Amino acid sequence: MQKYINERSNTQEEYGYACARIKVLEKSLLNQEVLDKMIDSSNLENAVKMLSERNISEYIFEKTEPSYIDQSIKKILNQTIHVIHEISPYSYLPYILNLKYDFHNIKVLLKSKFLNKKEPYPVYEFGNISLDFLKFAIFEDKFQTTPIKIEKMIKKCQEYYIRSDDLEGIEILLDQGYYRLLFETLDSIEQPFLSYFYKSEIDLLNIMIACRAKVRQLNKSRLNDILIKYGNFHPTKIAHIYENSIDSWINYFKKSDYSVIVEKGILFWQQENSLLELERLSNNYLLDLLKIGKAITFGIESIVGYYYAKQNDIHNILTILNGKRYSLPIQMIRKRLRNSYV
Amino acid sequence: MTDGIILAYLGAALAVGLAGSGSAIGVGIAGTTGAGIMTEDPGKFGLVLILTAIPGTQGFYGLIVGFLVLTKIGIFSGSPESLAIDQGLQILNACLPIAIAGFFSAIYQGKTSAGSIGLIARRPEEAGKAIILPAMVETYAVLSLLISILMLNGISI
Repeated sequence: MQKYINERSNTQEEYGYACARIKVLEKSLLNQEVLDKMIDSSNLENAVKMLSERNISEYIFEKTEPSYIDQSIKKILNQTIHVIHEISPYSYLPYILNLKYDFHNIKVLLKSKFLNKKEPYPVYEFGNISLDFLKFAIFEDKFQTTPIKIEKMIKKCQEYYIRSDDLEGIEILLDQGYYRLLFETLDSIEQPFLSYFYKSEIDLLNIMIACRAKVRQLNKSRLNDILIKYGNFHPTKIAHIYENSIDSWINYFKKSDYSVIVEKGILFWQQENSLLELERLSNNYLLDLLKIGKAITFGIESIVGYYYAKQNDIHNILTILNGKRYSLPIQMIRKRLRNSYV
Repeated sequence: MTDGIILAYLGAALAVGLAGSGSAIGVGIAGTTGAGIMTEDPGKFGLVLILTAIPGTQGFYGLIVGFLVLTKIGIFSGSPESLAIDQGLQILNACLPIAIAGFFSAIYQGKTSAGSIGLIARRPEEAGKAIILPAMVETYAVLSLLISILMLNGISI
């Protein structure tokens, strides 16, 4: 854990109030014991009942229909963002966390427009930009209420689609746009932990992209186009090893922080023809990185840790509930679960 | 007023001012954290109050030394002693331990208290251990108070 500690760790006294509130809120996060009980329950209704037994109001689901669960999950996410907004001494953290939802909404609305899909759109009702403003911009070309950088991004995507008819390309453009905007914000604030975290996230994402590209047999130059910049490993380095054998990838990452993830993930991929383990190990790595937040009294780490821990809880709840809904074997559900933050 | 008296006043002012400022900062740090806990769990008020109050003690230690200085130079009797410069300097020096150690220990005790408040938020059953940690910082404030008092007692006027 020590290597994530930097000169600003535990020195940001302005985060004292926020960290203290987070310490109390962390008690409502799900531990491994609850997850195990949910997995071992006989059916979906019992799994929901196990969750409700913890008496945490936001995790009490009255129905088990997918649409109800989906709405409840979005409500939990919204509440989490709302709390972070309330306790953050500076506005940049909620902005950074909301950016992902803005780009998700833009993706969904653009795809709906290009494919002529009608409502309801699977969007989030929250984000930095109001959903109505995004709809105005995308469906009616009215950009008066849209930030200029987002306006440029939307127009770029629209022009690209007219030219290429390629929806996947739009996703790539928006993913790259998201990280560009994110790192522009990170460059303007002094938060080494956030930069470290997001750089690691990009590295692991790029490894996953390279693996998927290999499955789809994409060529090196196409891979270079879709890899995300701003990570610790430059895309050209990853593209450079891309055409070598998969085993050589393990050697390439051997001296990096991701050696175990790459080695175990690739071995599993070769044996089971699935990238599930690589994805699970990547998520667990990032979660471990965030666990420093539990030991911090004055710093942004606690808030970021709590936010991602909540997302982690949501992922695990959905995995278990969907597994129970479709009567998947317990072992299969377990393989898809991430570690618990607490 | 002699130069010695001015130096003695300066000593008393530093003891009370620096130790009190440190306490104010320390209590402020712990109090902010305490407010965060109580927003979510008002039932923790008792423990939070104790941990928030601990960094306030240095301010009292400074006050004690300041009071002793004023007594020694006869301010309360209405006829202040006439002090030589070396006597004034001795009093000033005697005030420095509690002024300096009081200031810094109060700030760091505030930070430790804040950490302990975080501890009781997660594990209220560990309240005893949570109080011991900031109390350890207190040791150095008490030692400096002791030296300041001994030095003051050793000055003959």
